[in-house]
Amino acid sequence: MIDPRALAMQNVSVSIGTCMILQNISFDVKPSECWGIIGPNGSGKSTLLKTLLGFLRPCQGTISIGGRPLRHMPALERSRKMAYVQQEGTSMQGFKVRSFLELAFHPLIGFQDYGEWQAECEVLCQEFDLKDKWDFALSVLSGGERQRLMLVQSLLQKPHILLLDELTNHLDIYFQLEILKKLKQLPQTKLMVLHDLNLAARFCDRILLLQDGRIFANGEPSAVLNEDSILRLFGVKSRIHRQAAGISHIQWG
Amino acid sequence: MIKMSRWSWLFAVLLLLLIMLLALASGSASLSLIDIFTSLGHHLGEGQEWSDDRQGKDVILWSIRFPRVMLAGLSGAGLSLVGATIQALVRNPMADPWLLGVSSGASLGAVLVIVSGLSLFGLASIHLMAFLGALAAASVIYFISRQGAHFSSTRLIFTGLAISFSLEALTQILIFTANHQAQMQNVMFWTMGSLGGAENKDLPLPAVSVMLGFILLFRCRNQLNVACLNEVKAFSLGLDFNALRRHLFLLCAALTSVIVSMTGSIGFVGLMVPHVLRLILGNDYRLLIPGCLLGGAGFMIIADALARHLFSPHEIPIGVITALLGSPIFIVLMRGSHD
Repeated sequence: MIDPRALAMQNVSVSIGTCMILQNISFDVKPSECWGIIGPNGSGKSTLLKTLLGFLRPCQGTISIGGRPLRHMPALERSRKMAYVQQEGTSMQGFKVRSFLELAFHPLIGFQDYGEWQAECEVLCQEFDLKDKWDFALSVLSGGERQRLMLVQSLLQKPHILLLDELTNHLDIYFQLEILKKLKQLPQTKLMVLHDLNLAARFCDRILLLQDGRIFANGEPSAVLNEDSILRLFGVKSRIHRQAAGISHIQWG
Repeated sequence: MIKMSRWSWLFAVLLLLLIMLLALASGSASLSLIDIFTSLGHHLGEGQEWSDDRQGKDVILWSIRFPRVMLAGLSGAGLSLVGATIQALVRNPMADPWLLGVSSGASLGAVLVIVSGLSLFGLASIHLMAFLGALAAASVIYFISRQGAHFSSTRLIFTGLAISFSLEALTQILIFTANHQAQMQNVMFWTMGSLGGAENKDLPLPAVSVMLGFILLFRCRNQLNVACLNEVKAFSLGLDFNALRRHLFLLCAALTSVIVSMTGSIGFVGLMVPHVLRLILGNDYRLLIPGCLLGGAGFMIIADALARHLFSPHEIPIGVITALLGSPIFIVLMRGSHD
């Protein structure tokens, strides 16, 4: 039996109108792996995550989760397998932290006891430093607190796969490192769009480099991140400091 | 935002009952609460001899005021429920039942019958044509708003506005051709809304529609909450947004059509009541749906009592009262709100 956390894309192309956004994308993600999706603006990173989520339909190719095709999966079943954290702030007016988190129980109705779920919710809020914000209106939270809240909400969906679009935006360096460390330890398969190449090199098991909607490179950070690939992708000169375990630091200019 | 315990809901229900009693008592012929309870006791079996005066009061109470108060409550509840739902479906706080084109469609249907004098279906023809006009307008807006399998909020808003303006223009042309005083008064009823003609036999249809609408919308309360998030996030939480929009749009169009065909076009309630309740209860549809049922009913019953009472024996259109009463409440609550 295939692990439900396994994810595969085969020869997937996505177009919006007449514009081809992704072309012939194929890769296999093993259970529990943490993948970084990297590329310049407009290279198709967010489109790739939305396609994996099933929100955008590919014009060709197939996506499978745990060996099952995504296309025919019922909406609620899909949301128990995959959760998505988006880059732009979602509409949160008029919600309190508590009621916003409770939205994550929607796909689990009938599958989990509400009391149990609530206990897990409290533990996660404690872990992500949101416990004392329980009764706060979302409009008074800082950008970083909102970002953590959205991550906690996604984890409360109990997914096998996490799709994270620029999660570290709005987070200070302490929370960037803390959250990426925690994510790394989670059993879920993770695919995250990142702009910080140093964080990607440090926390990701594999990196997918995208350019103009195509895969530019796919492999371990030490194999795909080098002076030449960074110059060709971003047009920026860099110097990569390496150590035995991999990349230690990328220096710019 | 306040927390609503079971006791708070019980208090809200009792408050609504008190409002209904006071509305039954108020009007050009004064009735006391004792009159109401005596009459209620008589009908519940504690039979005693009626004097002529008591019999007259009984007729006023059960044949004139009761259907009117009930229709006011049902239409207020229904329009508020529809307003709150449409605001979530198009993710636009300015959305109200008017956006569905239902009010303008109903007005056109009714005014067409009034002005042309069509009487194919006897007395029911005005209500029937208003209902058909409302449903036809909503259906046109629904089909134009669809983009393949998707349903676009922006298209819905703009199509709703365009169709509503066109239908209102057609209604104005018809009004322009009306030349009898009686016709003009009837036309006034449809364009400003009124509960004056309510009869007991009119009540079952809106009562069943509003209760059915409430039950279905309450069942969708969690989905409506998820629908308030942006589209991708709502999708990630397992919401089939297109199916929800399709089903609830049809439900709202049918419910509004029933109400508007009975009361004429009463504006502002569907926009204002849900917003006032959002300021008090927050955006959680688990509270908003029952809140709209009780709050919308209470607000409309008060507005109708004022419409009857303020310039008694003359009656002012209820739409004027809903706007005059609702706007200041809305502004005061909005200014006091921090969220």
